[in-house]
Amino acid sequence: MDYIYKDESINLKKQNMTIICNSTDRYKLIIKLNKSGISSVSLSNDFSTNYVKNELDNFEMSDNISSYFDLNCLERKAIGELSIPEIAYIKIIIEIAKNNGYIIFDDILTYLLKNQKNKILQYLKENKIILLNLTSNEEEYLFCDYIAVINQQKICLEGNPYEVFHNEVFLKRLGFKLPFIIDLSTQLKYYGLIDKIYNDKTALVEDLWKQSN
Amino acid sequence: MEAKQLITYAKSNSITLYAGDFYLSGDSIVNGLHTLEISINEYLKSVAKSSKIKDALKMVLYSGDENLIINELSIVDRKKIELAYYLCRKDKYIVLEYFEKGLTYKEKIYFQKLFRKICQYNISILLKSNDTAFLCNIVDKICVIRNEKVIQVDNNIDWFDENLYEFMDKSEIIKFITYCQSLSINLDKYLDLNELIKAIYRVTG
Repeated sequence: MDYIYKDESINLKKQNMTIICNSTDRYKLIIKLNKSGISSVSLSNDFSTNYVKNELDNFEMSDNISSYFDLNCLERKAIGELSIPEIAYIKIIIEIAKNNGYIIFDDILTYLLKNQKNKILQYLKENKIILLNLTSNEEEYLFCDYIAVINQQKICLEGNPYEVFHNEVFLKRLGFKLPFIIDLSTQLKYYGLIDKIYNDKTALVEDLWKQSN
Repeated sequence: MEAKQLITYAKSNSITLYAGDFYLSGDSIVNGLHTLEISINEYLKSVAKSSKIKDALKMVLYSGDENLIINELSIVDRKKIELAYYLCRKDKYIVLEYFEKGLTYKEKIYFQKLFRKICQYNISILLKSNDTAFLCNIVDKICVIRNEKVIQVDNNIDWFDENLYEFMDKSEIIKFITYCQSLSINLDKYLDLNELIKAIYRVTG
């Protein structure tokens, strides 16, 4: 297995991966990554519109990327007019435009609206860029096909999403929640209304609806 | 848009949400804090005594070292420290920008309760965010702002109103119920998962 980062307790595999962790663990992991020369896209250190504008001015964005992400309207905005989600969006695009084969998000997708998130995920997929998403937002747990849960700077649970979600009680004890549709179908399964866990509302509704007819 | 401009639309001793495409300048969480090269203790000492500082830090769930330098903290910890600062200063208004981002579910539940409690002490909370799942159980009033103009104000919020979602994402429960309703499945407008499960049990059982 090829690794992006490896130490005694945390091995980050070179495959699309969601890392579930709280802010303290995330921050410490990012510091470790930075020390070993791996950068991540984050709002933490340079939370200013000036920084983003400078980056945007210094970076030659191809027309393809600019139009793919519909950046023209943002580029016209003056310094100091960008909102936090806009800053987050631009920072992500600048980094993925550099295309190093993989990208690490430090809980930054959570600032974006759903259509912006989808656009970015679609672009990463189309360009085969590996995503390592560090987050505590439960709806982002489904973005990748491998999940690792970090607690006190150690991986305490990992596997495919269903293996991880199966440990619902453990996750909740650490302060995390299951994604809504997984949580809903898990509980409906307890009540015997369905037989399996769904990650898609259409399939869940279809199953429930069929059974009631 | 200046934070003080938002106060005009805030509901007293309540939680008001501002959704929109505006950049918030002036007093708000995080803006400016990344440049502070003083310790948490020094920062909070300017507005409170040592004993109060400990209480405030406990209240905002900050459990780290008080002597850490602010610009070396994570963004979540900076937000917590800024909230502690406002609590110590006893401002009438607290402006929080995307405060819930980066918190775990358990922390979000805690802060929802804390915000409610803060409002009981004659303080109004002004939130800017787009996370309906966090907001829908605590917000009393919504202002939607486009091009620096208030285009919608709701005191009796219907979270299923499509007009609210130009600058926010619907929570997953709202998406699910809206989808069911579009298929003529008889589900009411629930915001709580347990209530929804009971309703599904009734409809399908």
